[in-house]
Amino acid sequence: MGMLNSLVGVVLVLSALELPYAIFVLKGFFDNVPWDIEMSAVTDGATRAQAFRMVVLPQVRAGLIAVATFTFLRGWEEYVFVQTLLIDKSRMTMSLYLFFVSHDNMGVDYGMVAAVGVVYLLPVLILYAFTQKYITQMSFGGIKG
Amino acid sequence: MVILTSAVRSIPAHLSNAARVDGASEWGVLRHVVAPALSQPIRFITIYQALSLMTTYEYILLITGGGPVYDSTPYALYIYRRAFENGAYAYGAALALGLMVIGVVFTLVQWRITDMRSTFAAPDRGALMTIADTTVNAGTDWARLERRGMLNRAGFTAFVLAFLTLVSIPVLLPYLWLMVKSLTLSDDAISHMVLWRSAAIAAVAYAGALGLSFLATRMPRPWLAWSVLAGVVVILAAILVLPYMTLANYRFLWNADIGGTGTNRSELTPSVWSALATSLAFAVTQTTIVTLVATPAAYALSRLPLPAARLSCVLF
Repeated sequence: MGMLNSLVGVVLVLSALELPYAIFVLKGFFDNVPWDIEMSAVTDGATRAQAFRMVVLPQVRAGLIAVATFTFLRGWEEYVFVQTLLIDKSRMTMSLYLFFVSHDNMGVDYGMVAAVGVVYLLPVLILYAFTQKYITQMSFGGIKG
Repeated sequence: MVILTSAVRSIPAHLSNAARVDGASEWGVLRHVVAPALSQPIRFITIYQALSLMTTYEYILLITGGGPVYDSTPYALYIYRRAFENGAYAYGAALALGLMVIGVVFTLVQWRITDMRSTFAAPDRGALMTIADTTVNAGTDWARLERRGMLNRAGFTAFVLAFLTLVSIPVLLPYLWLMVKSLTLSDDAISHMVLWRSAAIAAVAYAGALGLSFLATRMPRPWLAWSVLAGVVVILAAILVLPYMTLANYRFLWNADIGGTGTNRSELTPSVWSALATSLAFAVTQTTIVTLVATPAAYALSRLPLPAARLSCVLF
């Protein structure tokens, strides 16, 4: 289908692989939203979609942010699919960059590998600094704290 | 670990307080209040991780490549090598089908054994968790119990601190290695010495921070103590470690031509900034797609009375 060498193909593959986990966790969050407030929104004249957008979504906002963070990290660390499906070197992700730096003819330069690793890590640290509050609030499917 | 942390945090505080009031030691609180709350996440994690690890091969592929001769090759890695390195794609697909059957059977057996169906039941809002039973006779020596409780808590705190230190060492040392190694040139003897010294400085900083966090509340000016600790650590680092540090390993940031490391690819590797941008675009696009698709799907699964959503709970 012409998507072999493009980023679109890898994105679609990884999204499909991440979807079950995301749906499962989000379902747990949606289960915790009581039906009463949604029903009262509908009886107040909102359509179902409006009730979903204005009443339910703010309640699961923490869960959404947590799921988005985990999915982002999964995409950030992806190595196998980009190695297999991105064939030429014009589109390279950081995991491939680290791979190229560490596969050397004349012995591995660990200093450089460590430096690339630090640069690879930094965006994740920044992301964690902002979303840590939401990740630890995530109660999986049970009684929310 | 994140799932377990959030499960522990979601235990209502009044339960453990009630247990303590009834005379439970910290161990009792752990056994009777915390552990039952963790049983459901642990059951899920067992099933999820078992299935996930049955099909992962990346780490084994990267570290040993499958062993000397298929010695450390699990099923999934065998499929990968047959399909992608030997070109037998059809054989690999057939093998993968067999792995799928095995995985499904294994998961169903686990599902039954761990009684996962009960975790889908509505949470029982009425029942409280069992509180540790204790024999409180008439004429209890409350002063002695209070002293014993304080001793229990102190011992428990010490044990928990020791345990956490032990467990976090293999977790944090690689990050320390990463940071220090990236700042030293790869000269073996010197980099060994720098690594040992920085580990010693990190241990001193950790011990100091631990001690200070207990003592700082008794000081009139805690910020002074913290800044003294920070100053000591900085001076130690400056004397012992700084002379050997260099930024040369980071030259890929401003110099796109790191082909000087001798990779045997004919084309030059692109700059790290384009790789970062591609990674970011990739991860953000994927996150957006998953979030946009999963949210309505989860809402539908949760709200609408779809027969398929209840199928798994009915069958198993």
